[in-house]
Amino acid sequence: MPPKVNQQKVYQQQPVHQHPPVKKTPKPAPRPLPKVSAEKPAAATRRADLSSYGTQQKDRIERLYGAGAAAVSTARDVRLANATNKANYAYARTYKSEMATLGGTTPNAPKNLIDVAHRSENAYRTELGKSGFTPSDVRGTSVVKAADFMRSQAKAPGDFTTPSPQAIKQRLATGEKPQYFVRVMDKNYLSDPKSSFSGSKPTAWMATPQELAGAKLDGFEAMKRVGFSDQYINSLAAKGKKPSDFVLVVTEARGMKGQQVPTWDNITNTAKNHPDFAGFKRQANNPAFWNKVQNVDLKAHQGQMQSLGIKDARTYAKTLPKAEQGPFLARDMMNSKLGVNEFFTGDGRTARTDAKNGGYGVREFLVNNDPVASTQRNTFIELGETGKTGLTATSKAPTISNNPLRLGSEMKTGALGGAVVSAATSLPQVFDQARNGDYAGAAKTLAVNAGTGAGVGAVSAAGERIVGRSIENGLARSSSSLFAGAEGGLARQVGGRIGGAGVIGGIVSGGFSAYDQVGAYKRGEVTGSQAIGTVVGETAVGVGAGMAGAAAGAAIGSIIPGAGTLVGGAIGFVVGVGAGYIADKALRYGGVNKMIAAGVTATIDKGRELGGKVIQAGKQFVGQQIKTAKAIYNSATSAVKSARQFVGQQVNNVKRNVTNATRAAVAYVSNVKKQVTQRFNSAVTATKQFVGQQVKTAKAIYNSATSAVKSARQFVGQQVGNVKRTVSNATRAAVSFVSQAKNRVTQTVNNAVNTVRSNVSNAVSSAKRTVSNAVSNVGNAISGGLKSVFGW
Amino acid sequence: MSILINDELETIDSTEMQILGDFECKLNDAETLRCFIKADDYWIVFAIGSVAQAVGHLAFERTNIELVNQKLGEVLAGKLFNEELDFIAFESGKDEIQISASTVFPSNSVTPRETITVLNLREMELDGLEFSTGLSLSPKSAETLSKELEKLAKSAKD
Repeated sequence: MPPKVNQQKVYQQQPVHQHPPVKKTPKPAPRPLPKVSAEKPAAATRRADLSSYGTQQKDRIERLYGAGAAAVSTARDVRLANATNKANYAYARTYKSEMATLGGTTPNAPKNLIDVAHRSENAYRTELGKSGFTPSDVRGTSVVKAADFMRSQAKAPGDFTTPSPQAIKQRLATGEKPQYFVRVMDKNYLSDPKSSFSGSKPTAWMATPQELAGAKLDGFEAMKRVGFSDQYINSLAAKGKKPSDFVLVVTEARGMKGQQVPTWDNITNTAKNHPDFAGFKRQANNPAFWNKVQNVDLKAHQGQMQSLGIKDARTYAKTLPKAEQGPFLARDMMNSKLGVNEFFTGDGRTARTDAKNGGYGVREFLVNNDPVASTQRNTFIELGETGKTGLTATSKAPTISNNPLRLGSEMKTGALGGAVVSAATSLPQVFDQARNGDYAGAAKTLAVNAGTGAGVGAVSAAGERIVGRSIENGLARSSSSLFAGAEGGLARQVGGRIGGAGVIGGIVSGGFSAYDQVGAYKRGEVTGSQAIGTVVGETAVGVGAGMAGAAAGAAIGSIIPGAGTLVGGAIGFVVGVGAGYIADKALRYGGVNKMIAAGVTATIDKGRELGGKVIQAGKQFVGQQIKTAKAIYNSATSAVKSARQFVGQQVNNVKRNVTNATRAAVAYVSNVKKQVTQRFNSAVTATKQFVGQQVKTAKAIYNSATSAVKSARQFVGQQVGNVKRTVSNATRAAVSFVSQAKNRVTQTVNNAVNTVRSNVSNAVSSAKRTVSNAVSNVGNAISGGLKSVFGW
Repeated sequence: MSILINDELETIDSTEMQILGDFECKLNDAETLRCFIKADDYWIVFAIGSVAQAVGHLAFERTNIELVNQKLGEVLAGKLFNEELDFIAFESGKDEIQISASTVFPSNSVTPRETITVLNLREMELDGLEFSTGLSLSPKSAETLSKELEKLAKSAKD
């Protein structure tokens, strides 16, 4: 459906947005308007016009940047908050597990509290790093952030720096509460898990990291600042102690109990509650006595004792007038029992022991002397030796950043988000209303949507602050700065009317038109009534068209692929200006702005003609505009409030849910714990019984085994005896047998030899005989043969 | 408010008392001094300094020697630490004895110093000083004191 405003066809062919059909609203009754001619600008005029328009839109876009930045910043806040929670949990979890193994024999067990804290610190950094953050990004307190602060300050070039006496006085006067405490500690005393900040009861002295930062982590310089005398530091050095033997413990102030500024009153109260001061109980309620204690010049008395060669305070006290004895003894005991040495001033800071910086050392605080580990939010920084000796006093002591919203760099990227939010939520309705002549409605819609969109989109106090500030700034600009330089009552009155008319635009557009018209009025280019009318018309058009164009352009810029955020934003801005210009001109060519301007002008002029009623009319008109503006502002504020309320309700719901869930979880865990405890106890009992039985059985077995062993020993002994006896008998029998056998063998052999001998002898004899016979026979034979042969 | 400074105090002067013995001890400033044990029929006094100008730090009834030593022994055995007590106190006769133990960092020192303090809260003026009648000793000196008290208790029985 074509809009009800007059438009040229060329603009209908290039719609910026597609809109659903718009419901018709009745037209206001026609007024007698001056004839307006639509003039087509030349190219040069159009360029100048475009340039001027672009300047105006740039400012508008910057306002969107604010809302967008808030949204982006809020998204970052949410991400950072989650990462911080995880990091804190990682720190606590690591701290607990490392503490459980501290000093143990398990491999890689931490040696001391320093190891425990550093491992926790690493876990903290790692968890933040997973989300792309570092400890310095964290909002709120973090000992790791504080430690990093100290380390970074130590790297700063130049001499030591210290807050000037004036800066320290200022901090004391304002009662500035520290977020962190630091204390110099000897590493040797940190291996015990129960190590306290300062030995045993009752209190420990603490300083702040900001005031120690200028010591650049130099061990001895840090000691001087917190009230260690040169004499004491020299004695440490003489004993071979090095600055690297000490560390600075950093802890969150919120974890420390019993914090108090060490004034004389607080010190006196601490002393009265200390058991070793019981010897002064008779003076507990005697303020005159304690006033005298405060005025004891401890340093002078110490010098006097030294010169007299007296080492015992009580002996020295005898040399004093009676009235001074008690106060001196009490002051001396404050030194020995509470660490209130000769550099204590009683005004919340220590005197600097080397008298530099006008003798102004750091602020100091007394806290309950709890175990270091009980704070669970601490870390340690190594001290060293820098070799520096110079000292520069400064009134600009560094502070640990609290990281406010970083809108500077986020403005550009945030603009896209803000523009998209605004465009998506408000533009269709704004256009529809503008087309139907409901310019005030369009302005209101845009204002409400801008505020609500930003508020809801941001979902954060930061977003609300920015939107609220934008609106406030707009109002402020309209109602105050516009009057600047206006001369004369009439000028101020007219200027006020112009400013009042500009309030509407001021809410969303910052009153650009009003600015222009004030200038034009002052230059005499327009009459007051013309200026007022022009502002109204310009504002209405500006609201409907300019913002739409800018927002649309930014939206376009944001979706151009590959262009990058900044480039996309720039392109978006150019397109936005062009689109806004086109839309703006579409309305201007229709003469809407001029119709409004002319109507207002005519009304006022006619009022003037009617006899001095112009002022009244102007007042009424301006009054009406202001009311409208206020309504818009209120609506925007209400929207923000509603959003805040809504968010608050949601947060409450979440809190309730979380609380219920927590209670349920706690109850569940408690039940589980009970059950586990019961089971554990049952298991322990059963185990004890079982083990007891096993022990009994084992004992019985042992006893049986012992008896068996004894029996076995006896048996074996007997067997061994038997065997010995048997072996012995057998041996004897064997020996006897062998002897007999030997005899028999010998006998047999002898017999055999004899037999053989006899046989051989017989055989020899027989052989001899045989041979002899044979020889005889042979002889005979030979003889007989010869006879036979020869015939003998 | 009442200022009791002018109330009647028991006055003890150890300058003429018999010296029963002495031992080395360390007070707050960690310097070794000499502690003289003095006594008369009623009091036992522990005085610091040279013989001539030893100033009484602690005095109590001779009849309480054994009891004081018993309680001191408990503190030396760690009773305060184990039971998380700041001090133990007891009354015997007119004496109000308090024994405490603490670790302090005197003069903002980084080195802790252990002290054991024996006080008699009985209102008295000892050697011209009415305040803080007590001995604040290092643990080692407190052990020596305990041994001396033990000897005194034994000799009283013999």
